[in-house]
Order: sequence, then structure tokens, then C-alpha cells
Amino acid sequence: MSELSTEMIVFWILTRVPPKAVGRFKSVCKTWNSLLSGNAFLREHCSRSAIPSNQKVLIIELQTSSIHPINFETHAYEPGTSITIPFFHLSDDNRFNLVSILSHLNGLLCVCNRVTSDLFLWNPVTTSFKRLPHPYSNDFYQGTLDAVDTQTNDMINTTCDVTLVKSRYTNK
Amino acid sequence: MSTSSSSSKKIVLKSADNETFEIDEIVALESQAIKNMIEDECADNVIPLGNIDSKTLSKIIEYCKKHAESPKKDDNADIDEKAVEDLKSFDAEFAKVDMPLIQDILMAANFLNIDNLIGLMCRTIADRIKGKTPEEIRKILNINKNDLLSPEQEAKAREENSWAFD
Repeated sequence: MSELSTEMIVFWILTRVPPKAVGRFKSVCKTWNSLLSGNAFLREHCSRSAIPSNQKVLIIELQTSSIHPINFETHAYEPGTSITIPFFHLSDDNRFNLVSILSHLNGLLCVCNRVTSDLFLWNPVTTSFKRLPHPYSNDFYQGTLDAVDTQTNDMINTTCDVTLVKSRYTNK
Repeated sequence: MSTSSSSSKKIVLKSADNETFEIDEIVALESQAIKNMIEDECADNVIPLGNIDSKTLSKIIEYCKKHAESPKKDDNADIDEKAVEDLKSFDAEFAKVDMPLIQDILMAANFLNIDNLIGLMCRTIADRIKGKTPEEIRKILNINKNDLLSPEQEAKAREENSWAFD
């Protein structure tokens, strides 16, 4: 029997591997490199991740700055990966001391630098991030989960195409 | 499943290596492609499957039999959990075959249009390759050597995705 077509491999099989494997597989060959970076693949990969049985919860350990995916179906607690905060955060030891997680949605975090009050959308799994426009005042965001609601389109996991629909901050 | 199996009609499939398989119509209906043929009344004689060998076809029939026997979700909302678990462990055992056969089953399932089996084979391949290095992947999936990135392009791809390599 003939071999699997590139189309089948990329859109049926590679849309089912975790984001980390996708990142690694961009080095396999030219065709994979360009298809895995394209929007059609990203959309398909995200829509599979949105199926409840495929979802995992990322546990972020503040002390060790690492993330652990947990698979709810199998109860597997996967080995942690240490994460590097990809933006300036004024902390010598690369911890979250100066960084507040304000909100999260589908694996994206909305984080705030407590000193400069810069806001970022950040995907800790792929390390991609996007700086949000600076707020108009010097007030600080509170580290509460209801501080920011985000509304997303279906490309949330891999791009930062997100609209902030509500933000609230309090005077200190 | 509305048809009763007691007076079931038989369907005969013929593999590429000319082996014939007689199966209950209800089993054959797991394949959307064969179902269409039966509905269009083009399935009276032997159905020749010139691109599927007997080894692959017998695996596929084994799968369709099991799935045809199991209660379907859309028939009965509260089917017992045991049946679901049973089917799950059947699928897990079914997928324990070597990569070439898995690929053959996937190609055949695609041709015969058996949705669940396509999904099962894709998940199985994804699980087997997800931890592999790019070098291992090229071997497993027989990547065309003319399609490799240049050393500079590969270094750049690795650099940009360094988070994925630790």
C-alpha cells in the first residue's frame, strides 16, 4: 500500500501531538516547517485541543517556576518544565515575585509586572507573549483572578489574537 | 441499531490478494463507503477492495465486528459504563501493532471511510511519535531526503523553537 500523504500526516496526526512536539517537528523537513507554521494548522490544532477529553490543566509552581500538565482522564502528573519569564520582570531569581497572574483562559495567562504595571498575554507552553497597551494611569492591577476577562477567537493557544473586554484596577 | 441480526444479510469483501471475507451486513455498515454502496444497491456481489491486503482487511473486520456489536451512543443516551470501558480497552489492544500495519490500516480506513478507526489510528501514531527527535521522525515516516532543511534553516528552526527541545 502507498504511503500516507503529507496532508494526512500533518492535518490528522500532527494536530494531535502536544505543542512542544509541534515546535520540535518544525525541524523535520521544509514541508513540515511551512505547514506547521501556517494558520490552517494552528486552527486545526487548537480546535482539537478544545475537545474536553483532550484538555489538560497546567499547574504552575511559583517556588520552582515550573509548569506541570495534568491529564484529568488519566490523572497523570507529567514531568515539570521550568519556564523562563520571557519579558523584563525585575526579579533576580526568575521567580514570579514581581509578576501577578491576573487571569487565564485556554492556557493563556494575562500577567502583570507589579512594579511597572505592564500587562502581557503569555503562553507559558510555547513561551510566546504579547505586550498589551499600557494603561492610562499609574494604578496597579490587583492579583485577583476576576481582574481581567478575555474574549478570544479560536487561535488562542498559538497566537495572541485576543481582545480584552474588561479590566478593572484599584488605587493603592 | 434498528435491524435485527437474526436474519442478517451477508456481504462478501475481496482483498487485493484475492482472499474473500463473508461478513454480516451490520458489520459492513461500519464503513460509510460500503454503506453507501449498499444503499445504492451496488453491493449485490463481491465487493473488490483492490488496494487493501488480507492482513489489513482482517484487522479492519475485527474492528468493525466489535464496534457493530457495541451499543452506539446516539441510540441510547445512558448506555452502561462497562460497555464504554470494554470498547476502550478493545481499541487499546487493537492498536498494539507495528507502525507499517498501523499506516496500512489508516489508509484503508480512509478509503472505506470508517471515522472512528481513522481517529484511533491517528491518535496511536501521534502518541508514538510525540516524544521523538526530528531525526527519528524522518526515519519512522520516511521523509523525503530532498525536502530537508539546509543546515542554516535547521539551526534557525531549532533556535526559534528552543523551548521545545529541553
